[in-house]
Amino acid sequence: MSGPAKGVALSGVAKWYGKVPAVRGLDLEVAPGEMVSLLGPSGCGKTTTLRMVAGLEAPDAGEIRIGGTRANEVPPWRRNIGMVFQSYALFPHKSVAENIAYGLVMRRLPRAEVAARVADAMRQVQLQGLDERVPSQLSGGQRQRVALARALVTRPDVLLFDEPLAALDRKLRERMQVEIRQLQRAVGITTIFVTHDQDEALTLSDRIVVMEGGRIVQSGTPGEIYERPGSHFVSDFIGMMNALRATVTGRAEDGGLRVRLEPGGRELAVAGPAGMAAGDGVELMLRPEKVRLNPPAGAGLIHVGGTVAHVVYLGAVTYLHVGTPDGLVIAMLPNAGGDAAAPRQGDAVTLGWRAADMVCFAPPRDA
Amino acid sequence: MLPPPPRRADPRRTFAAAALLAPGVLLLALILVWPFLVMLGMSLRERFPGPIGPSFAKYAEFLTDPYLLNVALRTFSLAATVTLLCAVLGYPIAWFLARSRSRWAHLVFLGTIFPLLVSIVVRTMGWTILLGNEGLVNAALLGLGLVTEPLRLMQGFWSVVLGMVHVLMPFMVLSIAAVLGRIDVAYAEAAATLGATPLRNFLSVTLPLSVQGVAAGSVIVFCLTVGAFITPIWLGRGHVTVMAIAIHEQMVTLVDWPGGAASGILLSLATLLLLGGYGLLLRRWARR
Repeated sequence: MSGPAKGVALSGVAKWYGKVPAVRGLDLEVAPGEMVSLLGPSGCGKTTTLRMVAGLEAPDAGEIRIGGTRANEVPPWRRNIGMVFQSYALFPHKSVAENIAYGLVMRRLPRAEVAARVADAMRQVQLQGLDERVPSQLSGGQRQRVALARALVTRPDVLLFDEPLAALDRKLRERMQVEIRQLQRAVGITTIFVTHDQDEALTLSDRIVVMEGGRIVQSGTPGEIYERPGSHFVSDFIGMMNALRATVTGRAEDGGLRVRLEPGGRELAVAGPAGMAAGDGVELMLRPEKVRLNPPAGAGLIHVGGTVAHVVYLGAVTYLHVGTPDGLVIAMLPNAGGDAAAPRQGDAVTLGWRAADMVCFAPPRDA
Repeated sequence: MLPPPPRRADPRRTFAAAALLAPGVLLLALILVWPFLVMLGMSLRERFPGPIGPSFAKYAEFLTDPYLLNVALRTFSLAATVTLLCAVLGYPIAWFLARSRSRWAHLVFLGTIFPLLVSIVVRTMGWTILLGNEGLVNAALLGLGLVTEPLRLMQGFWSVVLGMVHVLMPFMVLSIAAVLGRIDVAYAEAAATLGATPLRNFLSVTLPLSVQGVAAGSVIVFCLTVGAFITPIWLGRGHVTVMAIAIHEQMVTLVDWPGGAASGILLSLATLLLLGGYGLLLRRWARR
């Protein structure tokens, strides 16, 4: 890095593709040295946003600042960024060493320094001895490392990732996530990471920015996003969720909502958003891992009886799909007791969870 | 017990492949290999009719004849010039065809292949109408009073180059566009994010990756120019004698069939050698 890390700031950034808005008035600040994930379904504008930071797309409105300086008019080759592409985009006619050296050669550094820094970068991503290979002779993980080294070796102000792990198998992907995160921390470089994979976003980020329809819908630490989703969309997109249908019956004394679960008719008090009135339909969102199996009576839990409809055994955990009078509830149980301990299909069970673990949202309009 | 490895080739498949290949191979043998052998035999005679020596007299004659060597030099200069111009002028068109999402791309494509739909004779005739002493260009210049006598636009090396470039440009454009269209745009984008200015980006990434297309187009254009006959005759008006014309003279005017055959063989050989060297050069450059 040339000097201290630089931050990135987007204000009111918008981009249209013809008559289709891809990004609509985005405000985003990435602090120096911070690692931020842009997370969302395909078509949410996350890649377009990244490409605008890179200078590969020009925003139709708004301003992009890198290190406090307006960058809108700066072409990509003068932005001092590093980018890892989804396809890696390693130059197929150049060797591994030549690929990594490319940015340094373009900066017209002396030959000896190029060689030293390329060797350094290759050591950093554990590619020693592969200098003379060409990209077609590398495995997926090795290509990924070359792309990473090529983007980092120029000591850019900002590192940009466009779903770079999508093509790797799961084991390798998880290892690369940890490697990328460690490397990013060690270098202390400002990083924006685009992904549609929630686990990836949770693993990698200081902060997750969830996008939908060209807008930011929530921004927060992985814990905040997971535990306190701000909307039905976020809670549904990140992690697995139970959604219990209910109707608002009134306001509680503490400002919460009184609701009645739809099929079962059970009355509950939950925390809920403002602007809800009696008679409104809502959905109560509940994480499967918050649901306990056959909890002791009392303990301030909501208790629901039901029958096991389906068992999904995943090794480390088992998912129980339980049919209850209040609808289908999925419970995640750690397999501490081995595979024999879990209930079987048809077993009668009692589920319990804390009312505070439920988050209440208006259901999405099209549902 | 492991089952034995499968047999290499199923005889029925082999037969089917042979049956499908046979007509093409036979046709090629008939129209390419057989005439070539006949010509080779002819070139090894001292005179025709006469015995097949084998005698290399006609080859020696060619290689010591300043007139013919001059014609050969002119032919290859013409081919090299036309190839270079086609590549330099055709590359941007190919780029536009391969990369542009403009609605004009269709029109440009049509414009590119349209010359292929018109016979070479008609196209060359068109240039004579434009460039002749009473042609359109001279009429316009005279009419505007810019010149007092018609310019001799049509008997030089460059008028032949002009005609050949026009005639052969589509082959170059289509060859390059086919390769360019298959190159992922991400390579150029990656180079840009790494600090490559557009020119260096093009020279270090896009051009080497598209060199196959340039090479294929060059081979086609070069070969067709080396063998060109009508365009040099009409647009050169007897002042631009190329090998095809010289061989025609040897065979038809001088009735020196062995001499014409030897010239033909030497021309083919030289063309092959030049193209082979060119291919090696390009490949080495692209891998740099």
